Amino acid sequence: MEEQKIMYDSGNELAAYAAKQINYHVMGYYPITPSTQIAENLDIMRAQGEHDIALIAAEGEHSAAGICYGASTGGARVFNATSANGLLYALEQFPVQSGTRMPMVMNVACRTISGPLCIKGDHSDIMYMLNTGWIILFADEPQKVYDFNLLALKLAEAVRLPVAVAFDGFFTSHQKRKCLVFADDDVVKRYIGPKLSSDNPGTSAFAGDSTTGENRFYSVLDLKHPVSIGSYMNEPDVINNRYQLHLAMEEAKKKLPELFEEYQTLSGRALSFGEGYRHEDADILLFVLGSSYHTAMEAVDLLRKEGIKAGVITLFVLRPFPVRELRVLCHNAKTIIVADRQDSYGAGGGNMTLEVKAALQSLAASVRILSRIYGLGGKDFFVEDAVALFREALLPDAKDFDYYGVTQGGTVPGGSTAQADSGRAQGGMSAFAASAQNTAGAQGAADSQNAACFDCGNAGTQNATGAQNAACPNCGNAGAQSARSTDPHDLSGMQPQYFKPVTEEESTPGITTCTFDETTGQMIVKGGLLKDATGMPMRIAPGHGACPGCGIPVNLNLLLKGIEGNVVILFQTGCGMVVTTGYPKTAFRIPYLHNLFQNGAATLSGVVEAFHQRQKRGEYPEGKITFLMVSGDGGMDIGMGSALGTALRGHNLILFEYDNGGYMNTGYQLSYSTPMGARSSTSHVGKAQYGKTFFHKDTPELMAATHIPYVATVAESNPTDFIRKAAKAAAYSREFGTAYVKAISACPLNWNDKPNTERSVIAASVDCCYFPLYEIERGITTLNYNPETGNKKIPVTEWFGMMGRTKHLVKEEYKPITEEIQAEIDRRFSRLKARSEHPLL
Amino acid sequence: MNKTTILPTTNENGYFEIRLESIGGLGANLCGKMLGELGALSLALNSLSFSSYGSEKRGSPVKAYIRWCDSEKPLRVNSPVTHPHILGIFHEGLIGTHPVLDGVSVDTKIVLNTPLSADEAAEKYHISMGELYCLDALTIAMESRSRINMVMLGAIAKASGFIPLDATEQLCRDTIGKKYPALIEANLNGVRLGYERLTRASDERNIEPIPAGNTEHFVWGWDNAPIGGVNPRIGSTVSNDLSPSREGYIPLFIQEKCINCGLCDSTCPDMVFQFAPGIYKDKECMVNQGLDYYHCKGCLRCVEICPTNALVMALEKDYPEKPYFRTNQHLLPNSIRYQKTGANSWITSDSYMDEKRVDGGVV
Repeated sequence: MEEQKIMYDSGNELAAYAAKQINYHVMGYYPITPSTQIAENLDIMRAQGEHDIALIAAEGEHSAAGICYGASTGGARVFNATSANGLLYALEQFPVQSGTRMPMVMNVACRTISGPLCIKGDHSDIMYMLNTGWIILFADEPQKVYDFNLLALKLAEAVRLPVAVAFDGFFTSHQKRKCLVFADDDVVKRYIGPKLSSDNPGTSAFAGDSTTGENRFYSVLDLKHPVSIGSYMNEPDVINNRYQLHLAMEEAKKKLPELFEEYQTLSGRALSFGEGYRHEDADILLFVLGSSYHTAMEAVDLLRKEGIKAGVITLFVLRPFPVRELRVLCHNAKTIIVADRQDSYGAGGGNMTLEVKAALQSLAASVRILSRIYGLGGKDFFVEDAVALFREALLPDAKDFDYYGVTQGGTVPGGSTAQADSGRAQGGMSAFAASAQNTAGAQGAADSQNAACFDCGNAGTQNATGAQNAACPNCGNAGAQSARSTDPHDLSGMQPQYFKPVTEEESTPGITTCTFDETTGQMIVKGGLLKDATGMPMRIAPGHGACPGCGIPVNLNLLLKGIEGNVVILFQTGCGMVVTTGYPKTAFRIPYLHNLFQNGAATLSGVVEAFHQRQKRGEYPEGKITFLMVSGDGGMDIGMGSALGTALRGHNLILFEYDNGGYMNTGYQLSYSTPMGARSSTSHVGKAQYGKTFFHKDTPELMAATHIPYVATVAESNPTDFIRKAAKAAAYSREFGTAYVKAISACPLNWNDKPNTERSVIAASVDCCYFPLYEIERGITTLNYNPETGNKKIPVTEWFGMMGRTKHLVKEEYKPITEEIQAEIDRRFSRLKARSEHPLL
Repeated sequence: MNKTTILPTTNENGYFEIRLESIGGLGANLCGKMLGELGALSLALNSLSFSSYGSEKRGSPVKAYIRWCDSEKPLRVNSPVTHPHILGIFHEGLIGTHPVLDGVSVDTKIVLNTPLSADEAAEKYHISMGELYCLDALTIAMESRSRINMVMLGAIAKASGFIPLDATEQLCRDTIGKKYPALIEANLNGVRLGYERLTRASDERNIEPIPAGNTEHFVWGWDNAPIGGVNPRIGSTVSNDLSPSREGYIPLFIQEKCINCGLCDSTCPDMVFQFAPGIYKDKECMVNQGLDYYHCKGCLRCVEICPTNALVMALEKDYPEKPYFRTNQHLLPNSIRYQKTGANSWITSDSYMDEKRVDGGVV
């Protein structure tokens, strides 16, 4: 047995530690909770010079998986980590990885798939991997995350298939435990051995090494033996290619016991396809995956004390599915209750139920197999829950399939005052609610279509009018067919509305006016003074959960103060949507939509098309709406393609980017807009690394290249300029096509500065010309504020010194870096000035 | 290797459990991690620790859980700690607004950060059960130039009755020293003072527990929630009371100095200012009527920007009745029931947060 040392680490940390010990060539990744820490920890170690892995922060998971694939075809050892929607976004890459037989290892910290969006742990993501041709190992505890990560690479290369190491998001990924790792990295390197790519000097190209059983790997970098990887293939060949893959899975099944044994010799820890606890003589067995397995053991002990012969089993390998081993584990059971942390909706069970049923159907003795869906969206699994599942299964008339732990809803007895409720009026509520609804109803009837369906719950007679039916097609059904209302706006009379919807009239106070001058081809904007702008009703309610001093609501409010009339708003995933729409509450008083991280622009294009088409067909009232997509700089990384596509199509909408220079929502990983040199959780500062290593993205220039009618940058430090540009963007988007507006947005938490100082920090970013304020109107660039003219220009280090994330750069040792950054900022600014002076540029 | 510690007590499943209740920014996450590590490495126990999965944002509620058992026993339970043997409360404002005292029994050792004496605190917060230990961790942290989490760590070690001070100090050295050697002494001092300055409330307390609430409340479930997670209740975040996010300071409004320029409204992230049509200097204009303190998170952006000092920084405790407190003027109901909460978000990553803060110490 090799020498080991004790660590106190989480699953994510151990996955990273294993990767460091292996010293992979390349990791292509994209941050997504809860797997992000794997890349973050590798970045910390890289900053300290502890490994040589090229950590490539892609602009999205699809590209990350592509980077991994490319590197693996080039003979590299490759690593990745992802979760949930990231896994699904990359999904189409995975069958290519396995179908062309390129080994690699990917960790999946399992998490709920959207939507509605949830970041917590269940198994709905990993089950999408079942058909990809990847080997899937499932670790039930942090120790096994480490062990499987080492074994996975060995297995991957032994059978030439990619391997996913899955484990519970949060429960395992974030839980710290005492565990053992090999004290010496060389032990790991010896265990894995060198990768024998065909282009390694001294390796013959295509022949496997028959004496050692080692594989040789094709390489697209092999110039002596050129190969074509990724053929165009139809029948009769595809079925043969798939059969090869099937054979490799069979081979993996044979290879795994050998690898388990070898690893045990090395580490002293036994690994297996699956295991059970007090299962040998159990009448009733619970099947669970992941961390719940251990919790269920406690329940088994409790039930055994009562004389109930209970047991629990789990599997550590999902592909290849260990049918034989599973049968052995449950050969005595009379009832098996399979608890699935996901559902294959409509199949009568989650995926594990289906697989267990399939595996056991040929057993001679008949086994009763029940299925329960539990623990979705990170719902905790207590010992009591495991006991309850057993007790349910003991009932002779237990349902074959059900959900465990759902809430019906309604009025429930209150406990402590702090219990989360969705907020309701205190004292005399019902009488009050009725009056509030009536008042609103009377006003609503007179309002425009935006308000037409606000009060459909008590407005049966009004629903007869055609216009209102069109605005809210379900109104007519309210209360007619069943006791339960089918009106989608009905709050069951229990919860009064807090606000009236903001009407078009109210939101047109005339703070700004825009007129298009046909002769000059310019949009003339007037107004926008702050003292008047306070008259714009807030389309977003207070009470949202942004951090104290956060710039996002500040920028949104300034933007919305400049947009008169109706607004429909869409958010891409990011802090902005998370802090405003935490269920069961929402901050929005105007129609709001969230889709994915990366395709908000496309989604809003669809809404715009629906609006135009339905207006054209007379199904929707005449009138104008400003369509607004809001995204962080992260969304403009992963969603750049969608934004460019929308701009090129010229859809009538505004793309608004709040740029806080990082993926703040997930704990500040670098974005492409993070300033060069800045510290982030994927660009640490250490002896071998100074922070982010490349320049900030010039997104306005990218958008300008689509030749949309309006591009502008705004900052809260120049608020009137901000409001006016918002008005122009709205006018352009309604009349001419796509408008793009970008604001620099403060993040006190991750910029690591004081919340009250943010406006000065923003002003400094403008004054150092890092974030120049300009607009490009129908191709003509205007610099709206030039810090040089008022002698206000400051060096970029002055701005850097104001923020904890960049403070280190002020030190003398980083001077070469900051000089480079200053030069790039000046170069970009000089070009901007030139363009501002010459209409043709 | 260290000698195995004998746990003084365990629950029915054989575990000794600790729960920390805090708000983001006080470093409970790191404290929990250190306690977990202490158990695994110094006390030679089997140990696990994790934090409430969600936020480490400033001002949002955070929980950390630690579970220990004998080194030979496997740690099987992965769920949150419901009945702690030690309950650390980092922020007294959580009591009464969040169920931080849930699961306390007569044997629970409660370590509470408060400037009150232990007996005063017991009375004020109706803590009728458990061994109550109190200390003014904030003052000690400021005095020692460390942070609340280090002071609480020392206090928890002391209250436990079996965690040795020297092991705690060594852990502090290892954790802080690796990255910030310059901060070791201050933090060690914080740990020591926490250990020393703990006072214990009398066990003979004659305090009525708060009666269980009998109010009903309404929840959305599968039977009544609008399908698809669609939310028709517009602007409903308004019922959140964000005042727990404040760190002791509020903006104070002096209306006679106000020129109604609107700068405050342009910098406020929380829609606090209530401007309404009115008369200022004989002219009709939008006039600042006051502040909605339910939603003010105390960032003080407005104080920084106000050109006439009509908004100034004030200590919240000096203003139990806030002048010019105006609830949101657009609310339909006359009064609503507010729910105390903090900022919320998803920070699930501690690699960046585990840093020296600008204002000293380690989070």
